[in-house]
Amino acid sequence: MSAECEIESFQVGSSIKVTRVCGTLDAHSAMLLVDHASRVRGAKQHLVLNLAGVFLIASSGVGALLAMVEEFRHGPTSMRIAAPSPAVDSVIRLLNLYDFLPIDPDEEVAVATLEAAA
Amino acid sequence: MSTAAAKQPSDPGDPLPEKVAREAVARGEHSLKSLLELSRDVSTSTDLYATFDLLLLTIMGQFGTSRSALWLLAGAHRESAVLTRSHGFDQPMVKSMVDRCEPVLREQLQRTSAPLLAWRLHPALGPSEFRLLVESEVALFAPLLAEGEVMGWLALGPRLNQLPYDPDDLAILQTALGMVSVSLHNTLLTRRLFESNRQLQSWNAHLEELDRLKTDFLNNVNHEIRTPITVVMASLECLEGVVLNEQARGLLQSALTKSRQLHARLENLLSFSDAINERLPICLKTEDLCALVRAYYEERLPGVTAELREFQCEAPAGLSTVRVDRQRFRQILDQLVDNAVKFTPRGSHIRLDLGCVRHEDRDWIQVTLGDDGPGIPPEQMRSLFKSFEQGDGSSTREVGGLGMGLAFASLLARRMDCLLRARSEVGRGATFELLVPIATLTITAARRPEPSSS
Repeated sequence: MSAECEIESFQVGSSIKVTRVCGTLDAHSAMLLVDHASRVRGAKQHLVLNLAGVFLIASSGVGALLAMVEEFRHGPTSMRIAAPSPAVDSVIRLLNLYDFLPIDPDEEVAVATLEAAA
Repeated sequence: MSTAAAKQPSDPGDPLPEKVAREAVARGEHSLKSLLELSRDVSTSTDLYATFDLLLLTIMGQFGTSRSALWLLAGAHRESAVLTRSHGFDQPMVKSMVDRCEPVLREQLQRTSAPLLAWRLHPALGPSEFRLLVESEVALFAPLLAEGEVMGWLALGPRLNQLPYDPDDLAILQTALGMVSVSLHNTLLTRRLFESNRQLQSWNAHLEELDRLKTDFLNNVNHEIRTPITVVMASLECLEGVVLNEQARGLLQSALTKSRQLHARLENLLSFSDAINERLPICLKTEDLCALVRAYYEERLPGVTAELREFQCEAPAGLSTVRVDRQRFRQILDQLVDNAVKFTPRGSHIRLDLGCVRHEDRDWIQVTLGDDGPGIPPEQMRSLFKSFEQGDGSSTREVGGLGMGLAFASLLARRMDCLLRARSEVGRGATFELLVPIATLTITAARRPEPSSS
């Protein structure tokens, strides 16, 4: 069901969790990511999702991104998508979703945006 | 996937129509790829809720919506809709909306068997239901179908890019749900099968344990009671030689008779226990059944008539021989005759007959024990040969006994390759038939020499 996917997570400051995803974002890894985002949200943390290392994203991966963004929208904390890889960028643009997702060019800008909003 | 292209900033070096066409092709390829991935992942998923998540996330990604929810119909007749998973929707609100709109929703989805834009429900819904539908922000419903019946439905919110769901989108959605429905239906059936098997195994284990406990109990009771009864009988038999007055002698005879009856019953119980455990020895010998039955009749006649039942027997001589265990054959007749006496009122008639019958292409000697008592009700006929069941199972039943006699008789008959059967009509008595196979002797005839040609 899933090719390799690595998820690495670390803390920035007191309220921001940066998560880097590498590999394939498909059905299996999408669910892992959704669960991870739920835990971050439950801990009242902001989330920066770095997708620079994602070389393949399936529809379920896109669905996971949409689900996570929507969940954070209803909570006290926020989520940003940072450095989408060319594969992720092309799929998001193909589905005309670029304007509807909180995307930043790199991790530093995403963190700065969240710090400014806090 | 929508064929209506979203507005895109045009590349100055690229004519717009070509770009639009390229994007449409790319989106079509993406849709097809999504369907293939969904098909692959659903077919390998073993977890029901993982399948739900897979479906919802894939559909959300495919159509670019951040809201989805899945209901399944539960219950033996799929009578109640259960919200199994949702993303992005206000759960209490959307749940309340579906609860209110469910009858209309179900009917429409069953009728169309296809995805349905939410606003199309408007004519069939009341104003308050439609208001709830609008507030819940559900844009469309799509059915999950199993064998043509709605087994649940998917709800989707509007697309983030505000593009409407067009017929191509609905076709893709229907295809996707078609695949998932089959997988879900099979998974649910398999789960129920596993659960049924598990329950059966559990009940079987429980029944085996109960059976073992019953057998152990029988064995223990037998041996614990048999010994003291034997001592009592021996003591009473010793007293028979003592000079006693008339009253004492009467009491002694009564005690001796009852203790012998109790001993005989215990012997039957032990034999039954042995028979169940297949320890009961059976020794088949060639016997003249007519002589056996006549001798048995002569022996039982005084006791049965003393109970004021008229007892008659017809056992013609010259019938074929049979192979039976004499002791077990007598035990079967004991059960039948004892029952006839037990379950008929004084003044009844009991007959013991012998004859030949043909049954299942074989010849048998049939021993018939019939009475003209009250008969056996149909509901008791079904459990007639089962152990521990008597006609009146209540604790205050008029007739004593353990309810094992006929079960034991049936067991003994089977061990001797005989058949025991019963027929009865309420108010017209009961008839028991013991079919004993005729002993056959195969003789190979010697070949006659061929006549010479001269």
